[in-house]
Amino acid sequence: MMHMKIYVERPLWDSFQFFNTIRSFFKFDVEFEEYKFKDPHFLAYIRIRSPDKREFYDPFPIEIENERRGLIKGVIYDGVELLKHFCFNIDVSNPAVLITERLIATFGEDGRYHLRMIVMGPAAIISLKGVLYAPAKPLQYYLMHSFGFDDEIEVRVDKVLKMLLLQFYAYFKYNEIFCEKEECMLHNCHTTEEIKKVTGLCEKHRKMLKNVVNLSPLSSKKK
Amino acid sequence: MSEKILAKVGEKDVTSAIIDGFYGMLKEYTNSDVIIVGAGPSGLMAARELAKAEKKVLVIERNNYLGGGFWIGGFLMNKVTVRAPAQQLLEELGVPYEMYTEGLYVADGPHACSKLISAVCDAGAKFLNMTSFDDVVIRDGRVAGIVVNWTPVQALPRQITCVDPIALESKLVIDATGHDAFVAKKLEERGLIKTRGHGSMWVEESEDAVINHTGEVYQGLIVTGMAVSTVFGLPRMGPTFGGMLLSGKKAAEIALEKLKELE
Ligand SMILES: [Zn+2]
Repeated sequence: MMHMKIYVERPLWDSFQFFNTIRSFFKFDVEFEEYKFKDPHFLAYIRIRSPDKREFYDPFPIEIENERRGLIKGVIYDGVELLKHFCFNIDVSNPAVLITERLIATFGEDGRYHLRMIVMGPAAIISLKGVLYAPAKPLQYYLMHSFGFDDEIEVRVDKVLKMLLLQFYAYFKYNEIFCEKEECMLHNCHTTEEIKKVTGLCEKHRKMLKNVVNLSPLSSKKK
Repeated sequence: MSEKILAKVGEKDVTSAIIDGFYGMLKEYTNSDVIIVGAGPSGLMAARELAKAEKKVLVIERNNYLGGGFWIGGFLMNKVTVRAPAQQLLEELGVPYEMYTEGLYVADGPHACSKLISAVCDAGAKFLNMTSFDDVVIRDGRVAGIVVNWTPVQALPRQITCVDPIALESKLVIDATGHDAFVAKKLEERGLIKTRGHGSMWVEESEDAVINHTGEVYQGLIVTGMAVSTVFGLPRMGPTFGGMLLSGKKAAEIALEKLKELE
């Protein structure tokens, strides 16, 4: 029987609010476990230093020390390297996902790093901060920020989490990568506006995934 | 007959006063506890904290004016913003400020900057302005001072730049030179550290990252302020100054610990 294992990185575990939302979303068992990376040197090593260079450096002692103490605000990690490292430590015969507060980015074909909500491979890493930061916002948001004002970010985290987990599941089980239909949960959203347009699953994916997810929670809880 | 308002002194007395005052100070500060390179908000904050702790502090500034970018906020507008809890530092310095939104405070740039400069002077730190950082002094594998020259020397035509710099010694050096990270870059030229350059994508928490990474990057060299971004390749940040002030304060705390270890 298929099940999914979701690791939540410490210290996010203590404040994580979506255990029940996720459990009731999937029709199969979801197991949660607290997770901690054990190699602060490696984490410091795979930090992104420049938006247009994929280059890793031997970390300074203070970077390793900050990793140890969890002082990682404002630090961005190479998502591919972090995922490889994570996969090495876990069983990937069933879908496994790490939910973290770390910011992750991947190096694109345009020669630049881009912040990501999710990085997928044999397992997946979802960045909760990435959910807030990665999707492009309306221009007004950036204008306010350039003057130092914190405008509230309007993202329904529970909805996006469900979308990302389902996207990984579809990829893991059916090798299905994203959906063209903008209302479909498997649509690869790049902006907050696109996320708003997602209402459920398209016909094709409803057939594929109807035995996997309970769709009612998504449509009933409109903001 | 009109009475003289100002006391009568000879021109040579004026010159002597300047020379004696300046060279007396310079001679005394050929050796300090801490040399801070750069008199922007983080450098000034570090200087104030260290001088308050009775350390002998010399601040080097390449410009005539002190304060760096702290006089103005974004877009040449002379309001500076800080995020909580940095308003406590404004409070401490006696800078009037207002809350703009929850957690965001705004103050007059000229008021904040002049108060900070005067707090550094009151605490007893000394300045060498119009003085440019030229090189580091390295002894027994640690930074033990800096080499400086008059800023105008850099602007002279090559054939008359035979003005040799001078060395100033200190137990610690703090690099507060902003994006340039001049001191750290000098160590990099010598193959002693590797800086990461900066300009990563913008994230909201970059100020936190600067504070968290403020620290010693080579024996005897502490980095603070925007120089931290350059050394560690941290994301760029917006025109708010709380991170700079708190980074300066942290640099001073680390310096005090290191000085204690050196005793
Ligand atoms: Zn679809």
